[in-house]
Amino acid sequence: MINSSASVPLLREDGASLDWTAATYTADIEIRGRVALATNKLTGAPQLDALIMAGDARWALEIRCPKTLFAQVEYSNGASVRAEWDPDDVDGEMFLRSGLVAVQPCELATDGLNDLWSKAPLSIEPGRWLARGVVFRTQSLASSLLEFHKLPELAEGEMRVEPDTGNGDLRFKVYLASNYFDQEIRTNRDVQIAALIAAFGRIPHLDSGDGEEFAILTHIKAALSEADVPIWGSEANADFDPARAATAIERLQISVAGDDQ
Amino acid sequence: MNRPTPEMEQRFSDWQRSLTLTSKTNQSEEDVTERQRELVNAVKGGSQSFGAYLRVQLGIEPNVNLEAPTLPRMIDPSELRDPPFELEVSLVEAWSDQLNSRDASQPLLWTRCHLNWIEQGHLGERLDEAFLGALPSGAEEKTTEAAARNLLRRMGGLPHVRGKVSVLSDCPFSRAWWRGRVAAEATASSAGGIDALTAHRVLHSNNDAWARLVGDSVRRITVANHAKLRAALIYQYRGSKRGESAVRPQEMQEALRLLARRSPAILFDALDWSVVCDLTAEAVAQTRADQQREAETEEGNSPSSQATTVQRLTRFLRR
Repeated sequence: MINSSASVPLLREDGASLDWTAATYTADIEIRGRVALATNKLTGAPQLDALIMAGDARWALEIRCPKTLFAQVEYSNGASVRAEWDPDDVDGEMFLRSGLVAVQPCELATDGLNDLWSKAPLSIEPGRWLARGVVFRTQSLASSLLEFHKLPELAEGEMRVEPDTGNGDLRFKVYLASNYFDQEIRTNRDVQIAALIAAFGRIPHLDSGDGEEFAILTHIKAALSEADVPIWGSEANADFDPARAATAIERLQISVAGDDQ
Repeated sequence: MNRPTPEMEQRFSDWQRSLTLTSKTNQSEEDVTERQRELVNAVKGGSQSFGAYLRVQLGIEPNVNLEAPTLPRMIDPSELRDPPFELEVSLVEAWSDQLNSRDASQPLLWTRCHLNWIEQGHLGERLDEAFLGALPSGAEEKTTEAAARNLLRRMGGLPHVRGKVSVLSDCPFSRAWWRGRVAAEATASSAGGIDALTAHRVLHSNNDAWARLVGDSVRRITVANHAKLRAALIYQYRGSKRGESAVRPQEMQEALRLLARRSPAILFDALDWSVVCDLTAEAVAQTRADQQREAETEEGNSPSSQATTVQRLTRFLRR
């Protein structure tokens, strides 16, 4: 029986865990058609390298497609993990996570760990994450949320943002005046962020609609919580700031004069 | 199966929206009610009337043949509203090679299948009982809004109101296919620990429990959408079937959420089947105990609830 409450040091890609003093972990995930390739890089944690060498830990790549209930995990002893899926098993957005997982009972030396850990080696049970990457989405949150359209009725320079739930998840249709739309202004980052702020302003009024929470809102809440930015909701509503939330998801990038040169 | 184009999807979505009143709509209630009446009348007119109506609404020319997986036999209205276990199993067997997950997750595809079955006469002529009527009896709903929503849900799902879970849980035939799929997946993930028929019986035992199970998988992606975890949870309820021994929905959902909270530390796929089973058994037992305690607390007069109250008071006074 796994003692799931026993604590095990976790090396997180986002650096949020303080278990390790100097070690770092990064995962690059690339998708080509029906294949994903994760390349893992671990530095400053020789005891984790030793667990891999001994066959006690393996690199894992999790793939999930919520719309079709699809989930798959691939393992590798090497730092690269390749996963391939049947296109008939998936539809819409996919989520991937890479990391290092214990696959045998083993011991982890505590060198390089924060002083709060005892000096004695730690017993690790199979199934424990030892290093874990951030979730990789096949679409960014912002691009999942916004969809640009042309609306001839709008005067030059006007924009309209309306919620749309037709595909089963929440999106916002961003309408631009014809001439602006035709000028490809929707690819302008400032316009996208303005639309995103407007969309965030409407989210608090949509979250409780018909008693169902949309999947994308769960992800946005998680991303905002991780960034320590107030979310909407009955208790925290007063602190929710659409501009702060939107720019925590997609940062403003103001170019300084002369940057273009 | 021919996949619907984005234009077909848009037309389908517009049609569904034109028939439902939601807080986000800018349609007038009178207009929506009028369209709902038109729908109800078409359904009451029988298979020919409703088939013709639906083709117009979905933009399908009269000479276009629709593809649909084969129905094993005629289906009566009560079976369509809530297929009995034996029918679900025969549907899954008949459709195993005809559909894949990608197709089966499309509400429009199921609606087009229903249109085909209606036109072929497989669903009989009492379409109002089958699609518009209340779930238990098939009796006429009090409002056209309720009737229209029943129909849209039963024909393939109502995604703009109910989200992605709708096609998995609201349409009886797509639900049957997905239950068969999850049951087969449970057998594969459990190293033979549970057979597909037993798993399917568990999933069929309570429609609300099924909706909660897949609802969390769809919405709480990284934590609950895990084949081995679902299999182990189904295994905990392996004796369940419709009636008194059906799965208790809230208990199953809370146990799954309890397990989900451990996912930041544990990769369930990397655990042996027996270990996942131990963890799920522990989660189910804890959830059951918590709910029992809550029920006793609500009653307020049981010895254990009195003890809990005393403990709380003691803690409070010691502050």
